[in-house]
Amino acid sequence: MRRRVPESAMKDFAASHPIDTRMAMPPTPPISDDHLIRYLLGALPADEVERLDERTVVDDELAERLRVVEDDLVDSYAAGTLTGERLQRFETFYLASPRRRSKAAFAKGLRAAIDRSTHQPRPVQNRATQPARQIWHASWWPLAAAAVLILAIGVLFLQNFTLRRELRETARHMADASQRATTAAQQLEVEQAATAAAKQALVDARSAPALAVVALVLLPQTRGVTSVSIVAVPPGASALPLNLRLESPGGTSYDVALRDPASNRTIWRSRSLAPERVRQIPMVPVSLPTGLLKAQHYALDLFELRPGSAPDFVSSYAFEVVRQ
Amino acid sequence: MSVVTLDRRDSGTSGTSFTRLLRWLDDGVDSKGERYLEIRRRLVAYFDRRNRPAPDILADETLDRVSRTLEESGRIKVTPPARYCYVVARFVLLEDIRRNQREVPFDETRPASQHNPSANRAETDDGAERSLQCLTHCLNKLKPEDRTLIVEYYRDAKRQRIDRRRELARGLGISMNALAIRTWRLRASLEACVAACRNRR
Repeated sequence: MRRRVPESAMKDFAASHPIDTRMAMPPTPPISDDHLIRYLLGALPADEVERLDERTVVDDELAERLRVVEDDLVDSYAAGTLTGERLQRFETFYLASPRRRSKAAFAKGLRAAIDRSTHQPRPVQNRATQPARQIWHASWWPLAAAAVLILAIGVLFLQNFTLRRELRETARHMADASQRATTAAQQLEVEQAATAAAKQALVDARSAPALAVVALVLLPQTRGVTSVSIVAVPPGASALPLNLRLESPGGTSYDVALRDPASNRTIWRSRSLAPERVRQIPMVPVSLPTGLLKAQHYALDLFELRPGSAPDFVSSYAFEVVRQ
Repeated sequence: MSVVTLDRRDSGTSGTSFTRLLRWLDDGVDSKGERYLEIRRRLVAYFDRRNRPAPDILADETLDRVSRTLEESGRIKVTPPARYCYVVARFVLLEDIRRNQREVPFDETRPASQHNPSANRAETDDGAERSLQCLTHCLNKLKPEDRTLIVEYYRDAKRQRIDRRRELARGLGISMNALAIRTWRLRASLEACVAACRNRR
């Protein structure tokens, strides 16, 4: 069954869908440390951020490298060696999260603890065993020992005082930076809200013209938070036709479950569906009852049906419903 | 041998489902739960980089959904398992963004004048003191060779630091990359020890 779907929605989806729909990861060029630092500091374009988001979850080697690069970056900040734009981005972007602020605080503490352990004063016993002791009269020994002890306590007290002062300064610096980061994050949220409103207005405006009688093609989700397809459901439509593109054809029978991602509950299930070829591309056509659809995100889970075994999960397809 | 503790107190996942999830994440190699912890760490970091206020909860929600799908469908074809976890995590992220756009946290409805920076500063001072005490305590709990390794790895700056790390790697007979990963693990265990110590005090 084919019902009206906004042509613009289909065009938009086709044009702005940068996701990699292949299940196997294509060979990728090596990523430099500098590139990873820019990723951590929010200085990369959105599509590159999404590409790296996926790789940092899926790719074991990159995940480990990213942690090492992140620790080095945070240590540089703790050591005060970050400068210029990198410092600014660190304070406004990186420190916007409490978890990352805590990492920075830990790095400062670790640095202080390591400095302390590598600059320990000489133990008191060493001073007491200096050659000078041999020429002192035996009765002077307690006085000399007391003097050395007082000196050592003085040194330790001074060191402790200096360390505490440095810590307080560090903490103050952190608090100021965190205040600046919070302000910047608030500004960012305001801008994001404005962008979202503009985007919605654009979608509404585009979907106003005449509707085409076509089925919207959905691709399996692998990445791309911003690339979820928007489906405008016209008033009065009773069914929404969709074609789910198959990445690995071969099955003869499928079924589809419509899931509300908020509750993760399956709210509708199709009957058995046969795959079709549309312009040589294997697809599974499905028609959703629009009465179930509210203005929100949905996920369609595709299962391959095989006689005598449980349905085999194939892929998930995300889309967002907009009511006209 | 290290013992891995898996904390699933808030999860709605049953014991059997959780075992199935662990086995699926292991993908044929028994990691004794390490793989689950690793994927969870990555998901927490992913949500955190996306500036979500509760990355731990979102990571758990992601793994719970994966577990429920496994329970319902018996098997997930997507490989490696981490890729499917990422696909689900994206949904969770989208929903969280959407939810936050609708809700205004109670704290944000308070007048700004109630914010007291000097009080925060005093708290931060105390916090830093506590952290340093905990860090010293946790460093002392490390094995001597691990303590030496972490101190040597992180001391000095820039050029000297690079040279020192190269010497350390040569001394241990491992690559610089392997050394970085070994010290990262030590550092992560220190961070966890400091967090637990701070909560106790």
